[in-house]
Amino acid sequence: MQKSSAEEILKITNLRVSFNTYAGQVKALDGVELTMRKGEVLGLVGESGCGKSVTALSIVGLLPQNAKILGGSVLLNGKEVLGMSKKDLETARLTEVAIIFQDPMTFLNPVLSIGSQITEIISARPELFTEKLVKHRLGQIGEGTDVSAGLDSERSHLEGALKRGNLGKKEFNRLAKVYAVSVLESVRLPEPVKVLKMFPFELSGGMRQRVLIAMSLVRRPKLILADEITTALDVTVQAQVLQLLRALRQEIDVSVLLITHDLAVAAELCDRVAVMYAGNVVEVADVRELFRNPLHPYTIGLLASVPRVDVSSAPQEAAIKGSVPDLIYPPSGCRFHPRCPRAFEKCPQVKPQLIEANPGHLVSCLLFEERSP
Amino acid sequence: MSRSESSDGGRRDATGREADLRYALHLLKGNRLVLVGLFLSAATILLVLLSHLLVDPNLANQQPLALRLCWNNPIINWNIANVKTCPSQLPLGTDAYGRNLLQMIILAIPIDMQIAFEVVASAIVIGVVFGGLAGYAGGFVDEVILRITDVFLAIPGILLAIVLIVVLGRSLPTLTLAILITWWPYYVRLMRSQILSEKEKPYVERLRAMGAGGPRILYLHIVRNAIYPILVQATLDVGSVILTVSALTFIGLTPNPLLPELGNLASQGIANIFTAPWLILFPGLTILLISLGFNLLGDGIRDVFDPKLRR
Repeated sequence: MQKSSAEEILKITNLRVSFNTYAGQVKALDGVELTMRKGEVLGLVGESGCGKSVTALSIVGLLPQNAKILGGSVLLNGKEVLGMSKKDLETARLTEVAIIFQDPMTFLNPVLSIGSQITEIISARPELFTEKLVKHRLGQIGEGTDVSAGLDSERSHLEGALKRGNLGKKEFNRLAKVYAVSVLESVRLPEPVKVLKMFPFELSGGMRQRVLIAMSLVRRPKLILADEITTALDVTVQAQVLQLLRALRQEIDVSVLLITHDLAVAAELCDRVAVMYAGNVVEVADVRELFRNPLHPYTIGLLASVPRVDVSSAPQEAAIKGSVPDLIYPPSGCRFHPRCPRAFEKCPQVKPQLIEANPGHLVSCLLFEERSP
Repeated sequence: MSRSESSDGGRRDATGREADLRYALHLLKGNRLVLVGLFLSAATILLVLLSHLLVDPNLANQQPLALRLCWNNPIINWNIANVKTCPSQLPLGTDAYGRNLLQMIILAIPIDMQIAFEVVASAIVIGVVFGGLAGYAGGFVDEVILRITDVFLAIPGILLAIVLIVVLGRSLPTLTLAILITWWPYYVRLMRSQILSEKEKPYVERLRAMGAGGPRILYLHIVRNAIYPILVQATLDVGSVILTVSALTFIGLTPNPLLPELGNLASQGIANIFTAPWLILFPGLTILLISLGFNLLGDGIRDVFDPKLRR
């Protein structure tokens, strides 16, 4: 459990982050433990302010100025991210991990065309992308999807460029555009060639979110952090975007950390789900296991509070008593104990560890520490 | 799956930018003053481009003294004693050296406009580079750049320009330089304030998350969003610079008394204001019209073409 294996794309251990505010030190993350396997979709669920986004931002090193990392480690593909140099961090953001944000309306630069914003990602560091671009175009020619004239001469020209390891600037830009079109195609945007010339204000919310997803795919990242990507969209578009994500993960080999407060979205898409509460991961399990057999009292309360339309005899959804704790003065011991229906005398004193209660089912609760040997 | 979006996208593509342009024109139509500004500044620029075709620049150096301070215009009559009548028709009369005043004004416009453009363009560049740096980097860099602008802003502009011209010697480049030195701090401060609000926008966070470096984010993305108020200011300032240049040459800081420059032409008029009022009137009117034109145009650009003020 302690060693990072090659199969783990992301391993967060004991991550503690606090924010300095006028009111005091907000202890936002209190020892987050999270492990992601390669190729899986891990859902990170929890209510607002429980530290989901802070966890994601610390993976890419984008915490705001007033944040302070108190300890812990974040291994991204086996490399420690905390304390990485600025240059290395930029390269990691460019090649390993991509983040898709909440609100598609504001995350595109309003005065640049979609095309220039996508090709910019490629042309910013030509040395990283030249080979990828040439191979992509050669693949296209090989597949025979393009039937325009002069393909043979283009192929030999590109193969020569690949050998020299050097592509002219004009040629690079042309291939970048070709690549951008195919990336837009992969997110099912209609008429990608036209979209390249459009500006963000000409696109609808769903189209913009697709463009943002496309941008995150441009660099073929190994890990995508999807931070509440459906929250700002209306329900029908949400469904389309979720469908797209599901299709994409079958097409390309990528791990996705899906951050959401919508349990239905998590149930729809994820392989495993991690539940967060007040800066702690309280339960991690396979998605079916978690919904069928929740162990942590918070998860039980969370699932019970989801309104259901399909069960007519179900009791009124039960809200969890009390409110989210003030993280400037968090509760001692288990942070959930003031609201927990099953709390006992040890809960305020001992901070529970994340332990394996059932095979593959991790829970951080003293009830299960008592039971397990 | 994306049927509805496809038709939506098609509609927007067909009419989006056209509708935008039409809306801009609609705004223009509703605003007579902008049209006046547009007309005046277009006429000015046209004169700048054509002046050397219309008038031989060498005429500025000839002094047909026999013709000095004469007037012959059938439409305008000055009821002043001692107005000499020119032998042939000269619409705006002659100046103290006997040169055709209309020709001199046509030669003067490009000289003033050149200074104005040089000053404004350099101020934009300095503003974008240093204002951008101050706003984006913040902290110590911001503090240093702002304090330097404070030093320049603390000295009255015209006074500083006079001192600089006297020290550096009278010539057109020193005139330009002197005005630029009093002008750039405003652009740095304006740019900085724009950057401060722009750099908190979400797309900047996205760029950072995508691994873009500071200079790329600042100069390729933020500046492009923050430049509109600077362009408006620059258009307004073309008129103001012309006013300043003419003020400086009017009080005698001209490189050459024969230089056809609006302030310089007008300054000849002081000595002859009772005998040849056209000499101060027409160069003065030209200054007024040019700076009025660019001011109205600047206001219009602000109202019509800044997409962020409209949405």
